[in-house]
Amino acid sequence: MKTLVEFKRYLLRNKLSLVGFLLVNFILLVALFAPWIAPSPKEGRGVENIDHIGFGPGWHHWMGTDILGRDVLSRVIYGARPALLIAICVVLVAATVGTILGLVAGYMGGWIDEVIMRVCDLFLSFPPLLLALVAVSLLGPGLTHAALALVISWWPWYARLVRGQAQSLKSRAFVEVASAMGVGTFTIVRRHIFRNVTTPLIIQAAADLGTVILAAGSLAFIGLGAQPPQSDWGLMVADGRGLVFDQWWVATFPGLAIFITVLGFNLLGDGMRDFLDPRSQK
Amino acid sequence: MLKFVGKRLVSALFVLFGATIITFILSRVIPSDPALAFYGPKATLDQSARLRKEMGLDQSVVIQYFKYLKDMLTGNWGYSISTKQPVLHELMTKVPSTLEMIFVSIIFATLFGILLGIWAAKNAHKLVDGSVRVFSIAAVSLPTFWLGLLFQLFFVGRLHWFPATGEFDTELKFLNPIKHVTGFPIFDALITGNFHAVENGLWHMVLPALTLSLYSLGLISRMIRANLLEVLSQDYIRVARAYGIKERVVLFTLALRNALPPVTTVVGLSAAYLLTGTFFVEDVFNWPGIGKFATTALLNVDYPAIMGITLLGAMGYLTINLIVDIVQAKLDPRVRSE
Amino acid sequence: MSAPIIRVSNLAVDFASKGIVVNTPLRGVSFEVESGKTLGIVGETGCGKTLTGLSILNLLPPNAIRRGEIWLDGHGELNSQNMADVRGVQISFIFQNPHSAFNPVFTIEKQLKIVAHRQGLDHHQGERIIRDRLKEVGLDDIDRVLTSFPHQLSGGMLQRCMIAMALLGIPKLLIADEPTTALDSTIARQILTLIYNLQKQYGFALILISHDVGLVSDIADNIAVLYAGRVVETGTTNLVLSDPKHPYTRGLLQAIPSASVVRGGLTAIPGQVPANTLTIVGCSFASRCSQVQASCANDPALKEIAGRNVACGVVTR
Repeated sequence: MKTLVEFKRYLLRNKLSLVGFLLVNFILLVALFAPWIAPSPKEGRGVENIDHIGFGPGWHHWMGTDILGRDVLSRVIYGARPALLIAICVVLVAATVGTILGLVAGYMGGWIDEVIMRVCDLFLSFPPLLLALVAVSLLGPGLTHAALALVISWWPWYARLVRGQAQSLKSRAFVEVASAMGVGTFTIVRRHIFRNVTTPLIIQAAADLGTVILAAGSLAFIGLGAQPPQSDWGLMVADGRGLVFDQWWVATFPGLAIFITVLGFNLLGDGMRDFLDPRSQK
Repeated sequence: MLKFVGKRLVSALFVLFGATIITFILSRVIPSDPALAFYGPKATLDQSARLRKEMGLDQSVVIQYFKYLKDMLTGNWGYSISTKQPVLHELMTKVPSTLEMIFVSIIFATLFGILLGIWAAKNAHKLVDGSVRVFSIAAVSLPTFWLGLLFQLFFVGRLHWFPATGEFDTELKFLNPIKHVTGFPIFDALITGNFHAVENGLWHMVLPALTLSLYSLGLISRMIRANLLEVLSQDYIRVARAYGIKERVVLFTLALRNALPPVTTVVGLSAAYLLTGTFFVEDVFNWPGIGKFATTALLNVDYPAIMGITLLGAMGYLTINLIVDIVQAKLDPRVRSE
Repeated sequence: MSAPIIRVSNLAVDFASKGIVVNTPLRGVSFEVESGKTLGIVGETGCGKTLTGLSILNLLPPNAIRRGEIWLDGHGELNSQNMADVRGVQISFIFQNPHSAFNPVFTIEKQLKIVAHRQGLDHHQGERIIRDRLKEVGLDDIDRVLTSFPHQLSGGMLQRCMIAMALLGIPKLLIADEPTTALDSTIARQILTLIYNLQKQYGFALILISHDVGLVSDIADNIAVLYAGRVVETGTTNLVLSDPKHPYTRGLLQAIPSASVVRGGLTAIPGQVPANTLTIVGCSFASRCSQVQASCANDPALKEIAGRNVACGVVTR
């Protein structure tokens, strides 16, 4: 396990990964301190301000105002919250569920493995976002439903990943030795296998954070994700659709926020992958 | 080679079978009353009871499943709640437009992705390489819907180069109507000599196809660059150089052939994104294809349509993966021996 | 006594990083080989023997800088201009691992044809010569071999194919870098015998690079022992191996299982090969030598003694 000090050194040498790291931290801080950073916190949270409709980017409103007169900058700042929240929750839950099932399948083998893997295959036989779209549609729109739907689509990837690792580790010498010495199954899994699985897991999770934000934004855009008056970036872009030719700022800045956030996560994820396992490729 | 294809086809059919099980479960496990969905909130008890009987909801689940399977195979995919038309008919009429766009996008993404990747690998670790890498990562970080809007803003609103929405100009229906041959609009126009329509259609397709293809372009160029760099460091490339083979032959014939097979996997993966990406692109550009139909169906919770789309999506995804597997086996003989 | 086909003078290779030399794995090697004769280059891993072979053909990684002169009969000094003509035509190379030396996605036939085309042979000539060579290297089912992919053939068969490929154009010089290391001993013997017989048949000069002194001693006329990028002893094989003068050569021979069975007991040379040659002061072997003296602080040059050349200040006093 490489140390944080080594990671810091790696970051300083690899500019792109450093940029990603800084971007991610920046977005995190923005999300955390939104009420203090945003010029108009109330509008950020969704309160309308009809007098101010139609303002373009300028001194008073750096990013202009939207269709209900709200300061776009404040809304974009507040929008960092649902974005990060959903990303972290979805990846955490999907990874947990997937890891548990993957460990069980990989280490136990036999019919348990078969069953779990067939179920995974079933889920994976659909194009990724499609299952999530259908699930949200059936559950009803909303941020929590979107999160649940994304978890449903995502867990099989983790299960497959972990199962593959568990399988190859199972036959490695140190596991067989432990087993021969009578160490309990659960302990073996926890101590030996899980520890070696964490590296590819972290790499995948880091990359997925960005992808989930994109997916959640897309769901919100077509109306199946976050609902008004929430400050969700995807939702904001949808709001600005009709106005794209005149009041271009309404749709452009929230989308830019998505882009920069996802870019940050992708750069960081790439950097982590190269750092933790330089030999692997996508 | 043939045995390989046969094996893949069989396993694809099995997966498809499983997909029908999922769509069936989804369509029955929904916590709501289909009668309410079909007739609306004013559905009476009689209507719902009659509909239940009609839909066979009073029978056991297993029987329902086999009825469902039979329906699927005979082309009865239900009726769309919003349009009241047969789902299969709706899908069949709308798929061609989407397929044309997907086709153009894949070709564009693959061609330019490969060229960009080669360019980067040849100039490894120099400025060109760095720029391509940044571009690739940026390309996979862009929200598709936002990109589409940006293109509209810029290329339509500011530069007036392209039309904003639609597959053809509305006047085309009257001035140069396309004769229906296969159902694929631009293709039909091409084979019936209707070049006005072809030009018009392609013009309308530029922005949506570009939007759709960018994600794949990023993935492919990255993969080609990485693979090519690895291949170029292999012994057999050194051997080729030792024998004085010209560098151009080394790169484009000997090295590229080895770098391509994993790329086909990436093409398959991005094809999946293409399939669902059309949902958003068609929404933004008002393209009359499956994507638009799907988004409408999803928002209106049009169960039969949703089920049809899901099944179609699974079939499309499977087909793409099958083609990818076959192409990969053709390119890399080691795969065939498995 | 025929004139040398190839003469190498002070061949050296530097590895540089960002413009600064960080290591010099090859520090000035000189030798010559006559037509029809074999020079064996031996040494431990990391002594620079493979680099010697690669640098003759200038097949070095981008961060490597080659110094020194290489003279080839009929072409004069080799530089980047005439190197392209020489590669594969006048000088051929046989690599260590046949499985990684062949392109996995093309058939043997296709790969041989590419080289034949490079030699300037037309389609029919090429086909004929390919078949002839494959037969000469001892392959029977030529049609099957031609249509096979590398992963479908065994190591021994692939190595024969590689030898055939190297001899398509009858080079003046064949460099064989550890041609038998990746093969098991029976096959290795066959391959070595094959190379020897082909040399007698075609008359090319052969540079045989190996860490296996016993193997080299069988067919090499002359031998050069490398240590830390320099030649420490060179002369006719019989002379050097029967009566080694340089302390390293002696240590090397005593560490070989077969020889020591006679001499009694395996003796490892204490210490390790220097990792970076830039740090060496004086004789590179001094730190491991049992005969080290104060004068070894000066880097010894190759001097003739007892019919061969030795680079040792103590021995050549």
